[in-house]
Amino acid sequence: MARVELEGLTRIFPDGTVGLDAVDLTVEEGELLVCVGPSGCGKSTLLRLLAGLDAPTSGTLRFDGRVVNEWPPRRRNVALVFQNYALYPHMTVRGNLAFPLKMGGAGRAEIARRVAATAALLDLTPLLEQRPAQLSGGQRQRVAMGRALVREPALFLMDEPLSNLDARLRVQLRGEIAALQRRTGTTTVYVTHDQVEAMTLGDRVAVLAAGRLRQVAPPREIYDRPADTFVAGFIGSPSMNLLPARLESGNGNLAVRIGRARLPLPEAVMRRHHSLREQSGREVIAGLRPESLRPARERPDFRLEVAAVETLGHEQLVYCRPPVAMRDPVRPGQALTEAYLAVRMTGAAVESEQWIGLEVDSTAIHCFDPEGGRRL
Amino acid sequence: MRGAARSLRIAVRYTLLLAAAALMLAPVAIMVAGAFKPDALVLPEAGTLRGLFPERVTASNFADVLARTRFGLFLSNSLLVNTAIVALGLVVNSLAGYALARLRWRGRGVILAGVLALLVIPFEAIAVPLFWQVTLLGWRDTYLVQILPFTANAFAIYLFYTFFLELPRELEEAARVDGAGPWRTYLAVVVPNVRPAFASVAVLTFLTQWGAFLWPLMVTSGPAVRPLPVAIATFFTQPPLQWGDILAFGVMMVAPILVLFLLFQGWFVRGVAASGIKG
Repeated sequence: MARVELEGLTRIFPDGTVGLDAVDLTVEEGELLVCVGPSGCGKSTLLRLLAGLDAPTSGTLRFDGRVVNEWPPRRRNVALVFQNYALYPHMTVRGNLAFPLKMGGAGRAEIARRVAATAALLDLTPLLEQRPAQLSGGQRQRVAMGRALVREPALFLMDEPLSNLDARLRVQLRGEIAALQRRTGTTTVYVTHDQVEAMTLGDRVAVLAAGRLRQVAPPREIYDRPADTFVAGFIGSPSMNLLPARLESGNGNLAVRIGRARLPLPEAVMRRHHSLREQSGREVIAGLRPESLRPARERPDFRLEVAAVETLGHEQLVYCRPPVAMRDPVRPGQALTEAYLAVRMTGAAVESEQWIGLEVDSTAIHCFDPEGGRRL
Repeated sequence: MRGAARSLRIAVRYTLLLAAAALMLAPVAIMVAGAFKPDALVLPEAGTLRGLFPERVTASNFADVLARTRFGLFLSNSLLVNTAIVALGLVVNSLAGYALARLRWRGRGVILAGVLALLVIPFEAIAVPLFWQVTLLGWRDTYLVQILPFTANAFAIYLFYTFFLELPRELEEAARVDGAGPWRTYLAVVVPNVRPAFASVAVLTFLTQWGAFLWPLMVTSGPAVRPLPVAIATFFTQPPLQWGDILAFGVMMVAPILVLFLLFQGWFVRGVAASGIKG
């Protein structure tokens, strides 16, 4: 198993595009780290640098303390599962599984043994003589996993391996991947743009945007304490509502004013945002998760018009016209004219163009700096 | 009324198509028919229906050719030269196409532009300087002089280049991650996945080179390394001038290509189609 350290890792492409910008990150032995972010954020670039398919422009990459910047892929003992699987179309499943072992110089008996064992582990035994074109998407994904597993590498790299599958299969294979990783204990870096995969699979989640590492933390912490507005807006579906606000002091406590609503900040919030106490009067961005807003008939904090309702069966997502123009998670200084306030409700009968009263769970308020979006 | 006009149109269309087909096939048909006729009847019956449908069939012309010429030697020369051109050409041209499609090196753009430019330069334009070059090297009257100048071929390089461009890069990256070096990646992963390109180039090269006449005529003088196209031209000038024998020689020269066509029909069609689509 490998411990992976990235120090100031940067990749600038020949056309000047910054793929990765001074990323510092450590992946512990046996950990499953999920890298998540929107398209173009640098997560695939990171994976390619780890695999040795690309070279960093600057910075250091270490496996178990050894600098591997110049090492070719075969020397790094890593296995990569590609987004489109990259199975060798002219080889059978057996041939695909055996190929890395042949390249590693294993003998015939050893190859046969390990191919059989890996096929049994992944339910591929009946498919060994078939070619990739004869397999379903899920079967191909298993073969790609098998080709990675059979080598018993020190580091697994997975580049959005579930993105080409339907939703049901994705859920099923997600669980299998997690179970497999726990069983083998292999250090794994998993790249995805799907935050559900990120939150459910990873021991820790690394959120990337525009080549920069925004936050790396366990899933719960990413959700409960996002480091900036980008992470707050990216993680969670619907994402966190970001509203311009002002800090006010009065009656010995601090409150957040959003439009006409004044929301006192309880001690739980003050503990989460240490620096707020001395900042009365400043502008902030207030973050409210959709589940922190509840219907309230008496003394609501907001009375808002419902613009749209999505019924998901067990709950409703209600989109309301916000009390003030919401903020862009990427550029928090910028107002979004077409954004709606998302509220998660259960058991409520709400329709469009209806006016509803909402109260805020004050313990769930987040505060961010409007200049850079960082958590206060 | 409408039905009759339609029938007339179809009839006219088919008549024209059949006439054009007959025009194209007539020389071949005359050659085959004449090869199986007694020599004395070839010219008198040419231009008549008997020219295509002989009354008497004989194989004596073929026997004459074998007796009067060293057909076996010429055939083996052609087979040797063409097989070598195809085999070496597949290696050289595929590697060149791969280097242009996949590798990044200084001057790549210039070389690619040069390959494309060579596509439009006819061989005749460089035949004389090439002749001087091989004379200086002392290569005349050898197999080498008939093989080497045609090993690298701009069209074949370009065909391979386009096939390699379409191959997903991830396959080669997967091979690299699996531990394959550059040569292993090329031979074990890339080549098997561009088999249609190899087949197309092999077929097109063989078809083109089998009938090559100008260059072998320029660089061979004796019969030792003479290929079939030059041999038939020489035979044509040898007395006595017997048309039946000449037509039989032509049939024997075409027969190997026909056999190959029957065996590899699918690849022939794909090769010709690829030359149209990819080129």
